[in-house]
Amino acid sequence: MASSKNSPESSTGAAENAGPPADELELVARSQTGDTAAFNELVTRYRQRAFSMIYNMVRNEQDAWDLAQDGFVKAWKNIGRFRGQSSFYTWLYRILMNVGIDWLRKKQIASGTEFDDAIGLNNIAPGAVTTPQGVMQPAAKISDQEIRTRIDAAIEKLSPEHRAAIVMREIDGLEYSEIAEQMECSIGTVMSRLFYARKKLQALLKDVYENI
Amino acid sequence: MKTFEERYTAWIDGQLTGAELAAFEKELETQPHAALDRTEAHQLGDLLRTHRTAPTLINADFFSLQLQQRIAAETPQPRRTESRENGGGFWSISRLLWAGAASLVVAGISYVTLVPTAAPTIPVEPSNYFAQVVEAWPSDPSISATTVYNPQDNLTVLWLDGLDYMPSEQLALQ
Amino acid sequence: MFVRLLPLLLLAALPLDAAEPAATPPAVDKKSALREGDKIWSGLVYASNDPSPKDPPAELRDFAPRLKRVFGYNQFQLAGSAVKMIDNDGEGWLVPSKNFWLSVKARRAVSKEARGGYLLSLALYHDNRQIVETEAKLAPGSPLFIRGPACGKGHLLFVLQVQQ
Repeated sequence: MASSKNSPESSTGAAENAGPPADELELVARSQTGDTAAFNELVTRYRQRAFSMIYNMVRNEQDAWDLAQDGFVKAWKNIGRFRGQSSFYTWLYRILMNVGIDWLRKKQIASGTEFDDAIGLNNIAPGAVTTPQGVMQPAAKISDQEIRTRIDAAIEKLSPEHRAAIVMREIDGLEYSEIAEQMECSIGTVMSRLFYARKKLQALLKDVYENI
Repeated sequence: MKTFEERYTAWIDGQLTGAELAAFEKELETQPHAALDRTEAHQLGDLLRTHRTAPTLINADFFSLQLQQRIAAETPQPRRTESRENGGGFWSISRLLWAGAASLVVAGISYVTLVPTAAPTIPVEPSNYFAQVVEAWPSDPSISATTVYNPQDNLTVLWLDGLDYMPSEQLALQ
Repeated sequence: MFVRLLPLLLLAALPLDAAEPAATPPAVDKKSALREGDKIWSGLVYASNDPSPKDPPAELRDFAPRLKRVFGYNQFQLAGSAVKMIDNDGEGWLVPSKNFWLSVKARRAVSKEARGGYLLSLALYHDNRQIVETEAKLAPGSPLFIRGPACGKGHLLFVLQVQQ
């Protein structure tokens, strides 16, 4: 079973299934009494990770900045609901994920675009080799910047839910059950979303990962 | 019974074991390219992990400062209650009414006697007034408005969130 | 007796409410509560970060340090500006750019502390859509910044300032 090295819980240094560290509990407890200095300490600890997590979803620095702040503000407003059953960051992570998904959904509605996650997969044989849809560059080595640009463009084409699932699995290293908990859906739904997200990204990025 | 997509995803991620794995791999014998597809899925994962490193949060301290200001602006201040700790017995309703009426009389007398009829030119002193937002009403429920006063710079910021992004090409920069 | 009168004297010393135009401030024509020549200047600023930031234009030079401290950007470019003479209670338009404009209704604040200050009813529009309506107070030397939408790699900011 693949270990979730980068899962929110394990990344804090806490052993699996253990609660948050004692000093973090104290900071949270003080925050719950309205101590903004204590909350600011939590912000300082997790701001980079929060920003990175949101950035991986929205792929824009300024938006990630704003949304990470939105997430922290929401966390502050709801700090009284944190019960210490998970690490603070795990709890924060869910808030950030929801902020990111909500933003992507609003952006989708505002732009009038629809994410067609099926991309004609209805009839495709599940085990078939992916047909590339990108530009083939067999000879020249693709630069890192171009790779990131291609990845950004490909991720943009995923729906918010598929984007969240693939980011949580492939980049944040969460287990299916953790993703299901974060997204408040079944494990089967998570696995199904991963299936289609992978198929879509493979079609868009085949020439990239084959040429690096 | 798991769907084919669920089992396929689990197979790619190495989550199938024992009898379930054997049964699924037998099923995949009709899919000659499945093994290659799994390899490519792993390559995709490596690509995403290697090249999707988020940038460092620049001005991290400013991020925190800005966040503190947002939180301060959104945290309701405790209401200042009239101090009645001294017993408060002196200011009864009747005394308050009498005090109010008397102050109006004094104000009227002051206006008549102190305000000059011909306004001389008096140099205007610097204003102690500072920019404030008394109230803000966003027109769209998806837009939020927050006000932050910066005493260091003597200015107020009306912070709008939820606005549509605008490409810079639409600007006519001077 | 003096103790009873003291609160009255203190009450009498309180400033008049700004909404009560009971007193005429000094150096102002009695017929108008305005100071002649007062204007509201608005600027639409494109704020961004650049490894080699350009100097801000002359109109933004005074604001640039404060904009930098507040918003964290290091480059400020003017995307438009507009100036409007303030008509007491008349509605006016500030159009710093073809995409954004402000409807402004200004009234001079008459409280003692508000020397040179104004009460504004502001509405910010983007194209034909009203974004926000606000009641604000503005004074010389104390501008109002409005953080607008994300734009390019930065943000659009509005600056409003009383000019005398």
